[in-house]
Amino acid sequence: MVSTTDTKKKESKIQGIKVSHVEDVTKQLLEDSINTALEKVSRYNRNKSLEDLFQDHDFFEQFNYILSTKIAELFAQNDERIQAVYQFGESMNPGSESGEYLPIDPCVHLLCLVEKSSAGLKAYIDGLDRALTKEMVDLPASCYAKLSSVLDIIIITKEDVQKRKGYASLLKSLHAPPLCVWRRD
Amino acid sequence: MILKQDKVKPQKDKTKEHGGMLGTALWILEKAFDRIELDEGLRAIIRQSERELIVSVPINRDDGSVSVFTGYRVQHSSARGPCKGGIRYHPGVELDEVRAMALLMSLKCAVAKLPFGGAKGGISVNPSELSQNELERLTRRYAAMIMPIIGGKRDISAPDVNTNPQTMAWFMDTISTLQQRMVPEIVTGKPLSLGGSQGRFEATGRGVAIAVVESLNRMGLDSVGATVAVQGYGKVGRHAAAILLNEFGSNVVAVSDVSGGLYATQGLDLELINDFLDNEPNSLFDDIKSNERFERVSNEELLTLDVDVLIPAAIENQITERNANDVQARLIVEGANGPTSYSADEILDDRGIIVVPDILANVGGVICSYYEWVQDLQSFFWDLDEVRKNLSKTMQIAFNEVWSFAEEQKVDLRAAAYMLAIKRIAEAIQYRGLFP
Repeated sequence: MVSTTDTKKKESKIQGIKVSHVEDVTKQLLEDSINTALEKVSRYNRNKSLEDLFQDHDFFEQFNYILSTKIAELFAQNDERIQAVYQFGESMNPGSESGEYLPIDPCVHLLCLVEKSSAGLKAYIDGLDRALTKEMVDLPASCYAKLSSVLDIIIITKEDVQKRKGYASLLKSLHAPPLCVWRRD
Repeated sequence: MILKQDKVKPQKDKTKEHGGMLGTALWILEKAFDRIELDEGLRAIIRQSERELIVSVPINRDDGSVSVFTGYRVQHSSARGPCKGGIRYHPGVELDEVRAMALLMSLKCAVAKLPFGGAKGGISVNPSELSQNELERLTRRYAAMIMPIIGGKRDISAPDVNTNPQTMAWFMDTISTLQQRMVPEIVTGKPLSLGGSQGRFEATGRGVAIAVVESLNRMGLDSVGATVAVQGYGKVGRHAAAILLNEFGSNVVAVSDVSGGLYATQGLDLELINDFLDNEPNSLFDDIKSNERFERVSNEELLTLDVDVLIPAAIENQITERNANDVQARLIVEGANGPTSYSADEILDDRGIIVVPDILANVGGVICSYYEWVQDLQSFFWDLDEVRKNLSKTMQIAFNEVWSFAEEQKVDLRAAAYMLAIKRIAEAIQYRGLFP
């Protein structure tokens, strides 16, 4: 979890965010996500290099979740119309009973529940995606090496959820429920 | 039958008592009960879970504090065999949801004629907030807490949302340690090195492909050259498309992922597409350079293409009353869970479009899970060919019995699958009678 001090530190950065600052924010975001994920690795993985850890499903999922949470916080502070952000996985499927690990999916899949969709938010997401992708290509993980875009953000409204339209239907899904990573109280 | 209607108290309408998924599951059940005119006593037994256990799962956190989570294990029915069902870790897990999923597992196992009843379990937790060591302690404590009601011949667990082969390995090790003997049959979905089964990577997709071929046969159509559109190119859709093309000569004309779809009337070069996706990690169809050999379509457009077969293998609720009238396929085979809404189902049925329901079409994963259990019990492991051969046979039998039953009862395949599943469960209860 992000500490209060960390959050305050980040807030001061985020409130004044400009395109030129996005790179600094993403650098910090990645560093924090890796460090938090490293704290959570199992005792068998403590001595592994970051390169090896990025090939481990459990480490990867932790990292991806922490990154998703931090991205969601950024979005929410940038746009007050965001009500909640959910992490969803392409991997949730009817074959789960047989227990097959799926190939590591480096993408950050988020459902962004907004009061109303705006061009500003979309532009912000695009900017953040570009900066984040640029940073992540340099991570010691083969899955990021040829990455062209890391963020897969789907903007949905309350109406979409009520009508169970497209990916908004996942919010009421029994089989593939997404994880809420941020919610406006 | 030993149960008489007049001996049974009138039941309240359970579907009205429960909202959400349990309400929906019970509604499905009631419809099928009425259609087969099932004895009221048997209805009462099937409506209710056989056993429900709520456990407290305390764990030591890495920082020295203690957290307590709530875990569940619901066994819906053991009439046809040991209960079988996954374990999910999610903050939204609650009793009614677990009950609904356990009931649906009973029906799914019965449709496939597997000698299992249904169960489901889970812990209300956000697993991503825990470290790996905390997750291990959580799994081990949960396994120990539900141990009194589980067993290789009583209740077999499996992975579900946010659990995986590692979780199953911890679970199996905990029970093995407590019982002082190796019990690999206590869970399925284990790593291969601990008794997992070959073929699981493609089992669901292969099952979908077999359902397509069998349906086409029954419709008097040939799978060779049949045009196929697949929405969702993940684990299920990708394998189903490849198997239909390479083993059954179908013409896969359209596929899509979250970014959109590719369409070519003469058929897509799946090998080329798969090479691209394998060599360009995280790439989507959107990243594939346009050329004259295909055109781009949206996910919505893909659903209404003029094809013989449509396989919705992405997410729920894709075919609804909004687009059901525009669907041109003659056959829909549900690779995903719940891709067709109930209102769309009625429209499709009126239009004569055949829908192979999820409970039958995507049962391949559960069948493979059954094979894992069988292999673990025998300590004799099959090669991939053996798994594939058996999967084809089991799927063909399950499919053809549902089809024949639908014809006999003059209902659609979804109704037939539920009716047949309930009939099988009811028959087992009847033969066994009630103890004492």
